[in-house]
Amino acid sequence: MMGNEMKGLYIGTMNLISSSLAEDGMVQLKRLRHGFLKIKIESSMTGILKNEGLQYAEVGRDLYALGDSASHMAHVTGQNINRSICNGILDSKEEKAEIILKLLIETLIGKANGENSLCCYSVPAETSEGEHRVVYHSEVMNEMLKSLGYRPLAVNEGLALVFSSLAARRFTGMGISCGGGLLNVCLAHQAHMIESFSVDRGGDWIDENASKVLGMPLRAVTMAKEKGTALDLEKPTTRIEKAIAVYYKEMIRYAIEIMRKRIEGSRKCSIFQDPIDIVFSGAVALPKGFVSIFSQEISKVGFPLKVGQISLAHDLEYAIARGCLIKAMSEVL
Amino acid sequence: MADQESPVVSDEIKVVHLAEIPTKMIKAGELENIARALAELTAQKPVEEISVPEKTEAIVIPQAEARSSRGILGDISFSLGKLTGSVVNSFNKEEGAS
Repeated sequence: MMGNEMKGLYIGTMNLISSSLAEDGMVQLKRLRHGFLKIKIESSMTGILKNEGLQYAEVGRDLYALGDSASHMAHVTGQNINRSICNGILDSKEEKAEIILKLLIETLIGKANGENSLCCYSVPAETSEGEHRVVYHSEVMNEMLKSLGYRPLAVNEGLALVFSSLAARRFTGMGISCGGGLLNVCLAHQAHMIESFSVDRGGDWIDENASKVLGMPLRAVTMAKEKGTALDLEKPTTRIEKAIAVYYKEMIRYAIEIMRKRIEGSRKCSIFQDPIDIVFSGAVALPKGFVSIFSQEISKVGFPLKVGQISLAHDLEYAIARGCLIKAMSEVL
Repeated sequence: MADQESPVVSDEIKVVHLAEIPTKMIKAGELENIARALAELTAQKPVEEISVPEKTEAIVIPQAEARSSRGILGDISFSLGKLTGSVVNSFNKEEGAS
C-alpha cells in the first residue's frame, strides 16, 4: 500500500475532516471548522490578526476570517458565519464559496504528491425529493481535487460510515450520518449500497427552530447544542436545552418516517432477512439520549426491517473521513 | 501542523494565514485490515451489469450466472425471485461499492 498516496476527505456542512495515511504506519486526521466571515480591516493591519493567531485569507480586496476564527468572530460580533456548503452541498449562491472551500481543502490535504494520489471524498445522497443537486456538487469537487493533482473518487457519505463502522457485520446495515444540514442514510448489503437518501433536516434545523421559538440569537442556541455529551436530551435542564430536545425529537421522528416510507417502497430491501444494525456518526448525534430516543421512536412505527443494534460510531466525528480513507486503501490493494 | 503562510495561493487569494490545525493520529493497522476485508468482499461480488426494461432498476448478478445467461439475455426476462439473494443493486458505481 506504501508508495501510493491515499487520502480521505469528509466534506460536511459544519466541518471538513481529512484522513491521510502517513509513512510511519499512522493515520493523520485533521479537522477544520467550515466557515468564513468577511472582516473590515485594512490589509496593512493583518499583522495583528496573525499575532492573535487568527486564521484568515485576503481574497481580492477583502479579508476573510476562516475556520474556527470565523466562528469565534461571528460570535463576538453577533454575525452569522458564512459557509461554502449549505445542506451538504456547495452553496452556489455564496459568491466566494468555491474559492474558500478550495483554500480550506488545500490547507487540509495539500497538493498531491505524484500521479498516483487518490482522494476519496464524501458526497451526500440526494434528498428524498430528488433535486439532483448532488451531481453539480460532485462535479465541482472533482474539478477542485483534480486541480490539486488528485484522482478524485466520490463516496456516498452513509456508505463511508458503513465502511468504517460495520466491518464486523460484513459491511451490512444502515449508516446514518448526522450533519449540520442533512441526515444521510445509507442501507448497505455486503458493502453494496441498496438504498441511500438524505433527509433535509440536521443540526441547523434544530438551531433555527429553537432560536425562533426562544427569540434568542442563533449562535447562543448552537453553542448550547454543541455541548456534546453534556447535553442530555432526555433530561434537559435549561430553557434552551428543553427547546433543543423538542426539536431533536421532532427531527428524529421525521427522519424515521422518511426512512420507513422509503424502505417500504423498495423491493430491493427484501434482501435483508436478518436484523440490521444501525450506526450513527456526526456531532449532531453526540448528545446523551440520542440513541435512546431514536430506539424508542423506531419501535413505535412498525419499521419495515428488523432492527438489531443501534449505536454511535466509534470516534463519531471522524468516522466518515476514516471510511473515505478505507475506501481509498481498498482501491489500491 | 505549524503555522503556515502562503504568499500566492491563486490569482485571487494573496495572503493566507492558518494557525495550527487540530490533528490526531491513529494507528493505520486497523483501517488496513478493514480495507483488505472490503477489497476482498467487493472483488467477490457481482461484476456484470444487466440492463433491464425501463422503470425497473438495474440489477447485477454474479459473473458466473451472467455468463451462463448471456446468450439469451435479449429474449428472456429474469425472474427476480430466482435471483433473490444474489441480486444486488449497484446503481451508483462511482460511489465506491462496485
